[in-house]
Amino acid sequence: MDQFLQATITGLATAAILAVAASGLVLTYTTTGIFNFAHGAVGMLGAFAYWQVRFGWGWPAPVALLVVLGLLAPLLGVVIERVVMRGLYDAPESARVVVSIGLLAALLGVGLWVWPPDVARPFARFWGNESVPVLGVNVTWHDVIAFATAVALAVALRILLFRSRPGLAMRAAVDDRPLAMLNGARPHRSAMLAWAIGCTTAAVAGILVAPTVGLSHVNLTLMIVNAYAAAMIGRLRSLPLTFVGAVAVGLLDAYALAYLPTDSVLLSQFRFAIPVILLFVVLLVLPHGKLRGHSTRTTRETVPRPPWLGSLGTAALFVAAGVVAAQIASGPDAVALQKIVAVAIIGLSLVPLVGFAGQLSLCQMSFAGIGAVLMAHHGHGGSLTGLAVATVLTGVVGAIVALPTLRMAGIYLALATAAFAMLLDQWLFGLADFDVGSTRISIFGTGSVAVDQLDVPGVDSAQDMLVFLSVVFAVLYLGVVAVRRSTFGQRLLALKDSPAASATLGINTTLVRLSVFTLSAAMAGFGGALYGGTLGAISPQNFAFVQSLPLLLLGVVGGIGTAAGALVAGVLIGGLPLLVDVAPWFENMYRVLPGTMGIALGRNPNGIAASVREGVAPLRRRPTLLAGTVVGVAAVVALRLGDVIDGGVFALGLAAELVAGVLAAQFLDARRGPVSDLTAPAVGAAGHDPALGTGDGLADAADVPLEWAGVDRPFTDVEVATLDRVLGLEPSVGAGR
Amino acid sequence: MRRRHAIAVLAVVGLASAACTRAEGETEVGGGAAPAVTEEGAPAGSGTTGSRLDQGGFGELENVCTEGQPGATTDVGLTADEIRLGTVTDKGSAERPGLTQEMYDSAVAFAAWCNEHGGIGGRTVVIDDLDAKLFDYGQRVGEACQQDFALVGGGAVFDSQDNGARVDCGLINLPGYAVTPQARVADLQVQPVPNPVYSFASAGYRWLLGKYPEGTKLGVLWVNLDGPSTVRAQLVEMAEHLDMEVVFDEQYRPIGETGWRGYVQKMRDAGVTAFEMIGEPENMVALQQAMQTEGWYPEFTHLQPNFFDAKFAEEGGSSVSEATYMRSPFPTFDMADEVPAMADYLELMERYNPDGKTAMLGMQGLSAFLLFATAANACGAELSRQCVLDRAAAQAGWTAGGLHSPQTPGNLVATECSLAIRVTPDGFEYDEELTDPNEGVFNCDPANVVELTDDYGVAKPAA
Repeated sequence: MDQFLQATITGLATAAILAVAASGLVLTYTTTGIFNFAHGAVGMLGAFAYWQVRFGWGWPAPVALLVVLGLLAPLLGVVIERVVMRGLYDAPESARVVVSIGLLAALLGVGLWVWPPDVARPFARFWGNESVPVLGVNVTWHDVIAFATAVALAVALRILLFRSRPGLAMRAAVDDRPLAMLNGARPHRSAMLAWAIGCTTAAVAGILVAPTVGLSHVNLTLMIVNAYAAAMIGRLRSLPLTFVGAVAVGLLDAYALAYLPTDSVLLSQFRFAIPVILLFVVLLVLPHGKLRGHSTRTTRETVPRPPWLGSLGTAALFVAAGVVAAQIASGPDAVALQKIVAVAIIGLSLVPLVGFAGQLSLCQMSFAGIGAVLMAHHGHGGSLTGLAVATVLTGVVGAIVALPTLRMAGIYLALATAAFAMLLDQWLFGLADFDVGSTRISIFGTGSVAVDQLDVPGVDSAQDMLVFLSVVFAVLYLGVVAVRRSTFGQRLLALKDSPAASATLGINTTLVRLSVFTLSAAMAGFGGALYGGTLGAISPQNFAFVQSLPLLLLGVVGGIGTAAGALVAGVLIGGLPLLVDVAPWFENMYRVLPGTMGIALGRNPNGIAASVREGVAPLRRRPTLLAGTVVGVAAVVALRLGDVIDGGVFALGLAAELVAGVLAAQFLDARRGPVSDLTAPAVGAAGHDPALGTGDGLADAADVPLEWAGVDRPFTDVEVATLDRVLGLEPSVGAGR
Repeated sequence: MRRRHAIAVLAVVGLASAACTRAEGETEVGGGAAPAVTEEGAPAGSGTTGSRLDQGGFGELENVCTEGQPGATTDVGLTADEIRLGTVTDKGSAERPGLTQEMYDSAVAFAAWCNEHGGIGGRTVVIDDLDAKLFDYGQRVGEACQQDFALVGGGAVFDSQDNGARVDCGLINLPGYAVTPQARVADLQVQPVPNPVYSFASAGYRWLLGKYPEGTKLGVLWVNLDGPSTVRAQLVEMAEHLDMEVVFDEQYRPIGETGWRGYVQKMRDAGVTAFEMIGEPENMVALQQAMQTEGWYPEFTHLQPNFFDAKFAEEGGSSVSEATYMRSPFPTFDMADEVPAMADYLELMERYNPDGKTAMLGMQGLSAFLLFATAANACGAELSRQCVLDRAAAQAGWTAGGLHSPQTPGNLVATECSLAIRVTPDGFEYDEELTDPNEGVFNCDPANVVELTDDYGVAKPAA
């Protein structure tokens, strides 16, 4: 009984902190419509800021608390809303998830920059070690305060949300922003208030948990994942239920520690997986609340329909780039470039899943890890069988993961995949070898396992392998293009646009979702096997949940509707560290950069690829200029291959050529007027395909649907010219923009 | 629009130039504050002429780096006037920034000092900054294979990830530390302060069991990463040899726990009297605080040398138990008066890399460099990788000039000689009574080592 009591009290102490964190999460979701993955990061910054003020500068605790909770945290919230979130209200779900992931990365980077690690920062608890006996167990004042804070916060936030006018305004703004505005609300103000309060609660959680976890940037940031289950039990809506959920998670954890036997290999780390399993079960079992923050008008995500000729050209270009790189790169550099391509292949698996079908997945690297492990154990010597096993079995796992999540959408699906990733990461990947009956199951063994690279006849060196991988990427890219152009691809797009409408039309959404998950997982497993081969030896840390986040982030930043997104993800994940090697001063910026890129997504949810495409469009419309640019690029490449110029000049030359070409085209557009592509489909033609014209004709660019051109933003010169022509009016170039 | 444009182009340019300029074989010697090499024999900006360092010596070692006539360039990494040595660290990782920074800082200081006195065998020492960033060890080995004579004074947390590539390309290794079992028994390697797999330095437990005879019920708390999990397995086997009973054997989360009191309660209920935590110091601080709250401490706590970190002492000093000890082959920094080599280490860092971090691993890295220099000098004009390896392994009783206890460089033998350090609220203190020194400040005794026979997944290295 005594042990039970002790475990209960310990569990309640843990539960208190989880409750504070989860309440903040639920509050943010309810008032902004964004599930803030960066909540833990804000808490981390709050903890460090409090340490700085309280212990670094020696100010008294009440003043320090006032400064951090009353000034700094709300200020951060306001800044986040103003700079990052304001543009996201009509962004698609994937963009919103990715932006909050970007924010997580950026804030973590800022924390590491401002408070470098490896400096001692002793953090005493409130009232030190004094404790008070409760039912025979010593409870520290710190724990009592934490518990009291959790209860107070749950009550206060509930009153705020459901019984106060600001709370009503916040919820209205999330429910239907335009309607709220029509009723006189000021959504911007409500949003700023919402974020300010959200960040403050995150800071409270950070300050409370820092003494026990220690002032560790990464640990504090990731600690929040244990609270997701609690937030889910509250159905992301009800604060009292969230509190109950936190108590459940805390108590389960404490009882598991006290009572669960740990002698068997399977059970030894099981306790770590309990919050995650609970999250998964709750997602499956409890009915989901309405998905928040979906306004009536969502920015159109474009998924252009790639033409075969263009795609073949791109694929050829990629292979050519691989060949050129192989000529230039030395052995170790070729291995680094191989990694880029391998990660890009894994990134490509996100395109059908996230880009076409709109199914958010935070576990791609976990699938890749499964593929790599299978390759390690079944692909000795680099056998093709191993690769086949890796691909097929990972696909099967993907189907198994898809089955329970079939009726989940949006953030719930993202959390379910995150739960799966963390399950692997915290439990299964860490298991030592164990026996099931007479078979020995070995995953990562003692911590790392060797992976043989695929044995391809004719491939002897790292450079050859690089070319091979480029070819593989190009082939897979063409496969993805084929999917996009097939009826299956159209079904995926329909599923993304409106699952309800698709079902009405008779599309078997279950089968479609199952298929796309299987396909995506199989591709990720395939990529993972190759990636493992480039690494040589793999550990669970290579495929942890936190590795999936940058993949999704950079993939969406690059533009997840096309293979460009995958390429950008591969290049940035593999390439940014290389950049740091060359320019060590860049290191701090490098930590913050992926985050800021994710944040910039708020400006253009279609990612860098779309921006680049828009920018390059003027050039593509002028064949002579384009030809000149291509010749220039070819000349620069030839000079490099002939070793006339070195790598730096080569890169600069390439960039200069491209930039010059684009600027020249834009200059000509300004001087002589734009070239309108009269071969684009006329207004009203059925099936206006925004991509075929690559930005020509009406409704240039993908930012507004056709019918909002001239309303949401002014008419472009091209549009005016076309309208004049169609309506038979005098040309009036110069009107509009 | 233009701005987004610019960002995209900038990124492409940056990446392209990164990929291509690296191909030129440029390497960075990093940003340490190393002073320029001056003419032979004239120390740069010295204020203590006549110190051992100024005479080219370190502790009991003399003429570590001298002028000389370089011999033939036999191996990769040697030119007529330069010798390239690669130092691996994980200091640039995003997850654990600054990890093992001290090994690189030591390397920079050593190179600056050594070059002032003529370099190694008349060749200037060039340090290759190989930052594995946790996940890129294989990559760094690949680069080092092409341009470095040897890997010296470094180490990586995931040091098995090269999958044997280092051995395949013939690159020798005198590491500052080795972590994974595969790395700890690898070929072409001589550890100056060995961390063997099948031989375990149990001095700490031997002494502590003598002082606290009730400490026979062992509790182990560990994190499931390659290095710590092997140490835990070794500890469990050692316990058997020392007639200790393992009554508590639990893991904790790699990302940390929100509450440690559950563990403390469980340990208390299991009757733990001897305790060891294998992992990172910051978690130990939190655990100690939980023990303090519970009002329970084990009879004694034993920690591995990686806890010998100023940050741990500062953060954990207020909650540490009365009987928390470390077995260490190194003296504490306060013992500079009794241990000349310790004074020299501090002086070396102060003069040649004042911004650098001084820590235990830094000393181990320096020991590797001193061993390398000693072996290279013994090879003289016939400098080659194999010769250095052979001579390094032949330095029986290696102490790096008195910086640490006598070691048998290699992969096989754990040291019989150590001292006990007690962790106190004021920092790390040498516990002379517990150590019972019989050789300088160290206690040397064959009973300080336990030979292990369990299967650790790797082959036992040949003698």
